[in-house]
Amino acid sequence: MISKDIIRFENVSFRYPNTTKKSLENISFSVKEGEFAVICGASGCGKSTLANHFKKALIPFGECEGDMYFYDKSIKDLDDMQSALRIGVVQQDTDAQTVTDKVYHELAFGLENVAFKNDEIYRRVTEMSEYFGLGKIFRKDVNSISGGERQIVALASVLAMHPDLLVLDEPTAQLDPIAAARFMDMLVRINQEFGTTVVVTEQRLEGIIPLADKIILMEGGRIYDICEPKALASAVARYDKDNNSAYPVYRSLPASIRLYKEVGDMCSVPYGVNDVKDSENAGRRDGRINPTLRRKIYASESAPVNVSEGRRFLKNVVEILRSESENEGAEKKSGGYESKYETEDDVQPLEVKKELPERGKPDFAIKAKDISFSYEKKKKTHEDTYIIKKLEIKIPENSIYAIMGSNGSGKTTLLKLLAGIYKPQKGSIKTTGKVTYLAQNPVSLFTEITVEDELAEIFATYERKEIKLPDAAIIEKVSEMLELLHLTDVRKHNPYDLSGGQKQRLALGKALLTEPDILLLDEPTKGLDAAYKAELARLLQEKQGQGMTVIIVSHDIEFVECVATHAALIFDKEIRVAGDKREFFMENRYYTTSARVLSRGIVQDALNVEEIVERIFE
Amino acid sequence: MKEITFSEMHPLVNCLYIVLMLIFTMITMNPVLVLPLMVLGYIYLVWIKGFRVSLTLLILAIPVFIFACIIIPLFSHNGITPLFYINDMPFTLETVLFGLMAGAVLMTVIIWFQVGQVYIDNEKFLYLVGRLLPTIALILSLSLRMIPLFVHRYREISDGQKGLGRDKSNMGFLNKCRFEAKKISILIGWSLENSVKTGISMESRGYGAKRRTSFHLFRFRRSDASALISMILLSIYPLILLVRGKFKVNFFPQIEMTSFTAERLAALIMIIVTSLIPAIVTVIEKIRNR
Repeated sequence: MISKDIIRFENVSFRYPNTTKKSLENISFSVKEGEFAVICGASGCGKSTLANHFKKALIPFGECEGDMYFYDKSIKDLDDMQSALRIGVVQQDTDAQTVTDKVYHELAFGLENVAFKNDEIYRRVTEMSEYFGLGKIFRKDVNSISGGERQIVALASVLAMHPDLLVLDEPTAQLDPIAAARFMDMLVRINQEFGTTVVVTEQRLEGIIPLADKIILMEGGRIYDICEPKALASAVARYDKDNNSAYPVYRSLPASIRLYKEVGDMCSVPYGVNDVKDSENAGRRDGRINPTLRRKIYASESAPVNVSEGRRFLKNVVEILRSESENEGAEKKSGGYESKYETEDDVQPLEVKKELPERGKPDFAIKAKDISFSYEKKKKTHEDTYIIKKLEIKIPENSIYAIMGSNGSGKTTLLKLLAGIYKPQKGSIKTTGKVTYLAQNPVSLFTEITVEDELAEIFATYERKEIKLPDAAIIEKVSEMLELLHLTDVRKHNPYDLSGGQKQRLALGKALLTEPDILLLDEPTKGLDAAYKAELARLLQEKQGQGMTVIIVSHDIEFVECVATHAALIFDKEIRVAGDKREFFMENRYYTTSARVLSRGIVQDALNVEEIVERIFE
Repeated sequence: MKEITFSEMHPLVNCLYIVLMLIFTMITMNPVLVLPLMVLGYIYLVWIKGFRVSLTLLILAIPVFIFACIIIPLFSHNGITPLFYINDMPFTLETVLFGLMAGAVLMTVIIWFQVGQVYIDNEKFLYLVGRLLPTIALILSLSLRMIPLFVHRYREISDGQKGLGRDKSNMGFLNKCRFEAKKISILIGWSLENSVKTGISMESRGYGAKRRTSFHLFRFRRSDASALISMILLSIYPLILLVRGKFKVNFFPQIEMTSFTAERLAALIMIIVTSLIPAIVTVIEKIRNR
């Protein structure tokens, strides 16, 4: 079957006004009818700019060279009607792109614009809400539905126009993992059931890569490679070799692909099956495995892209290594490998040493006892309006404590209670030290015209007896903070012009300047890429080293695994599962890292890909 | 028991009903017309909003009537029947009655507006506006979303500031004002930033490509048609009489009411029947469902 290109970019370059660097450089690619394409790359690599080039109305102000074709017509020449009807774009910020007050109004908005008759709109709108199961919220206010639902409404309202091409810019950035997975399933269904071509830009790649037909890897405004999911492992390995550093979003690739690549690194087989022979003598890194073994591992398997394939691959590797070691053991008569491999029967709760508190001095940063909270006025407080109910939590001093849970589970409310912003209706909270809470949306803090003024603004406390620091001291502190957060280059920029990661850093800087003992962060990684997350993790661990206690509310499992010392899950208005991070993730079966899911029952005690590789090659 | 049948009817029916009631109330100050409409309107209000809400209206009525029949006569001295004199100025029966009627009309209008608020909710209002001016309807819909959004954002901003250790209880009055001003400025900046994005999203979804239509979920049923037609038929005759001034009342210098003839009685009955339409609709619905 020959299918036509639905969209074709030819040497597209784009430059924002007043900048020297091009945001997009010589972008050429095409997507065929009915394909599912994923564009990935770090934030600031030009993904969103690229997504905005699918539609004339969205192309930002600036210098645009080259041409984009929808079928055979240039997008720039497509008339408004055609463009609105045939190309659907769901932008990043759902909150901002929601226009009207009611869900059904929102669904109808586009159709009203192109002057459809009421009956036609009614048919399409009911069809859409039936397909997406929006019946229950159909007449509700847009403000009263959850973020996940709003994302689906945004999608449905674009799909109601019956587009041939659907473009989504980081659609799951604001969603918790479960809502994100549900949303991705929805996209796949649309792609498969209606043949709608789908192009998605994403940073969270775990769930989406296995489903894609085509992956476009971007880097610094250029396309690094276009490949299939199966070839992704070798593409990132090649990147590794070419640039001597990992691909920027490497850490958010599916665990199975990373595992395949890491094992390949250990065996010096960066190019996968077909290249085994060529690379046998390449000897990159210290290949600890002999060539025969290499061939064995890579002969049988193509790159695994999903969890079950990943598990099969891992089992196979472990099997080969075990038999190898047994042979070696027989030869050298020095005993086999010790049992570092886990079997399904071995999976037992770990024995955890429960820390006993020392008597006398407080061993906690914050302790909450039986707190209940409801947004309703006291008079009306019924049991079921409680967001938090008889919750107990003890945050150990000098820890990085992660509170996890789905959207709407009361995480943010709990954090605000711990920060003392809200007072619990029942129960008590004890705090040792100065608490600073950083709001989820950095924009909700910005008032000044430049980044440095924004940081200095924190020293205005508005208190009656304001202690005025001398200007020199303020300047010094601000400069230090700019340095620490890598914002020195943009110190004269307007906070609104910063990238997502920079905005988040600036807000964090304001919080750090209050010199807290306990820092409370609300979803600090929302919508940010792997590189920023790694940097934030490093910064937080450094601060912890200096004695700070950090409490994070997040649904980013991989980030929590990377940074936290303790983790807790909030469910049904209280915290039931809490404890040491390792224990928490090892014992959870579903709410745990993908590497753990992958290695469960095969390799013991591994929470991330690096640990798996370490264990099997010990 | 709360009334629902009529409020579930088509917005055009609701709208015509409320408009007719307001016209009948405001066009004359004839007590024969105003008083029944006031009583009926109040009964409706109790019916659809419950007694407690209606009670607040009764409390509001007290100052209105005090103003109308005590304060007005103190300053207006028209009329020929002095009741007593204050500072040699007559306090006349006619002004008292005029004030009473003016108060009654005012109260009746308020009552019918309250009833209208229930019958014509935001969505119906949007529909009615959208029939004529789709763009205005969109702006209204936008603002209906914006207001709660602003409140929500303001709360986020306040919490964020509190989280950074800025506590209002430690501030002097002037600083409190400065602090509030800062929060408002954040809100404005944030919202402007967002509205740019909203604008782009609107354009990408075809806004401005053609003259908009306005989508609604209402269906014009047979019962809507019959209610609409009967309302129009019932009100034509009384309206003609009203316009011709057959219900006119003069208060000054002396109260003059036109005499009560058969045709006026018929018109009055028609008006009352019109005002009873919601009840009639409900009763018919009840019977049909039995």
